[in-house]
Amino acid sequence: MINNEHQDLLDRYIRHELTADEYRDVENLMKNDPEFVRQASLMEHIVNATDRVNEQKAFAEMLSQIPRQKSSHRRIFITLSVAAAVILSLLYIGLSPQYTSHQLFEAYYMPLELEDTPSRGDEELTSKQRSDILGAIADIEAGAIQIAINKLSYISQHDPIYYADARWYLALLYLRQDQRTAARQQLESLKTDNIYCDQATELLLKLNKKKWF
Amino acid sequence: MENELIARVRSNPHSEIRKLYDLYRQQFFLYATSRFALDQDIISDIYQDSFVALYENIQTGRLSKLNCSLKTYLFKIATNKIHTHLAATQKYKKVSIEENWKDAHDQYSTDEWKERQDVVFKAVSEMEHLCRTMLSMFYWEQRKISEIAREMGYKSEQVVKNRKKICLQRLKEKIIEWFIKEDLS
Repeated sequence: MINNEHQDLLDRYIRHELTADEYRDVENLMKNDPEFVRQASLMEHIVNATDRVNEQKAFAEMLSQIPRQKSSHRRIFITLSVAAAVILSLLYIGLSPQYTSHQLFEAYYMPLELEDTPSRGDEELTSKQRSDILGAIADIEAGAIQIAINKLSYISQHDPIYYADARWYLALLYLRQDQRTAARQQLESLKTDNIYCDQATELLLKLNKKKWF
Repeated sequence: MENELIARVRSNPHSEIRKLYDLYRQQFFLYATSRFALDQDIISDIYQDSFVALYENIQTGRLSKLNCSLKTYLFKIATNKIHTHLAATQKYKKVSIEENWKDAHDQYSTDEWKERQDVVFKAVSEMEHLCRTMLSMFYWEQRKISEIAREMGYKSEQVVKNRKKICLQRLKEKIIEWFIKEDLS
C-alpha cells in the first residue's frame, strides 16, 4: 500500500509540479523502492486510462474530420466517369451505322450499262447525252471522282433523261467520299417515279440503319 | 507562424479538439519547461508541430486505434522533437526522470502492458460518476483542488482531498483484483 507522501509525490510528478529536489527524490525512489515503482506503474495506467476516457469525444471528432468526403467524392466522380464512358461507348457503338459508307458503295456500285437502242421510255437519246453520262462513269472508273461529281451534278440538273442515273451515281460517289448527308439528299430525290426508286429506298434504309448494340 | 490546421481548430470554440489542444498545450509547457532548457517560443512551435503530426496521423489512418492516450502519443512526438532540437542546438536536459519512469512500465512486455491498460481502462470507465469526474478534473484537466471544490460544490479543499483519496483507493483495489483475476499482477 502506498503512503500518502509517495502518492502526493506521484500526483505532483504527473501534474509537473515537482521542484528539482523532488525530481531527484522520485528518481531515487524509482531506482531503489520496488513498491514505489509498482505504484508509479499503476498510476501511469490510471492516468493513461483517465486521459483516454476523456479524450474519446475529441478523438471521435478528429476521426469524423478525416477528409473522407474528398476521397469519396473523388471515388464517386471516378465511378460516374467510368459509368458515363461505358454508356457513351455503348451509345457510340450502338448508335453507329450498321453499314459504313464504303460498304454501301461497294455493295451498290456497278458501272452504267446503257441500252443498245438509243431511247429510254418515250425520250429519244442524243449522242451528246449518252457521251456525257458515259463520260462521267468513265471518270468514276478512272478514279477521277471529283470530275465525275461535277459532270453528274450538271446532268442531274439539266438532263431530262439521265438525271436519275446522275443522281444515283452522285449518291454512290458521295458515299464513297463518306458524305452521308449529301448521299441521303440524292437518294431522297429518287424515291418516287424513276427506275432507281426501289434501289434508292433500300439503300436509304441501309444508310439510316443503326447497330443498336 | 500558426499552421492552417491549428488555426481552424482554434477558430471553433465548441470543438472538443480545441479543448484538447488548449488543455494539453498548458500541460506541455509545464512539462517541457520543468525538464528542458528551452525558450517558450521553441516549446510553442514544437507543441504546435506535434499536434499537427498527431492530427495528420489520425486523418491519414496511421493512427486509427489507440492503445495509449492521445496525450501520451502527443507528448511522445513532442519529446522526440525536443531531443532532436536539443541535439541540433547542443543544449541539455535538466533532469533525466523519463528514463526511470520508462523503466517502470518496461518491466512488462508490450502485450502485457496493453492487457493491463485495457483492464484499467474498463475500471476507470465503470467508476462511479462522481469519482470519475473528480479524478478526471485532477489528473486529466489538472485543475487545482480549490477549483474542483468550487465546481463540485464541496465545502473545503480537504473534503476534495479525502474524497479523491477514497476514489483512488477504491479504483486501485478494483484494478488489482482484476489484475489477479486476469493473471496480470
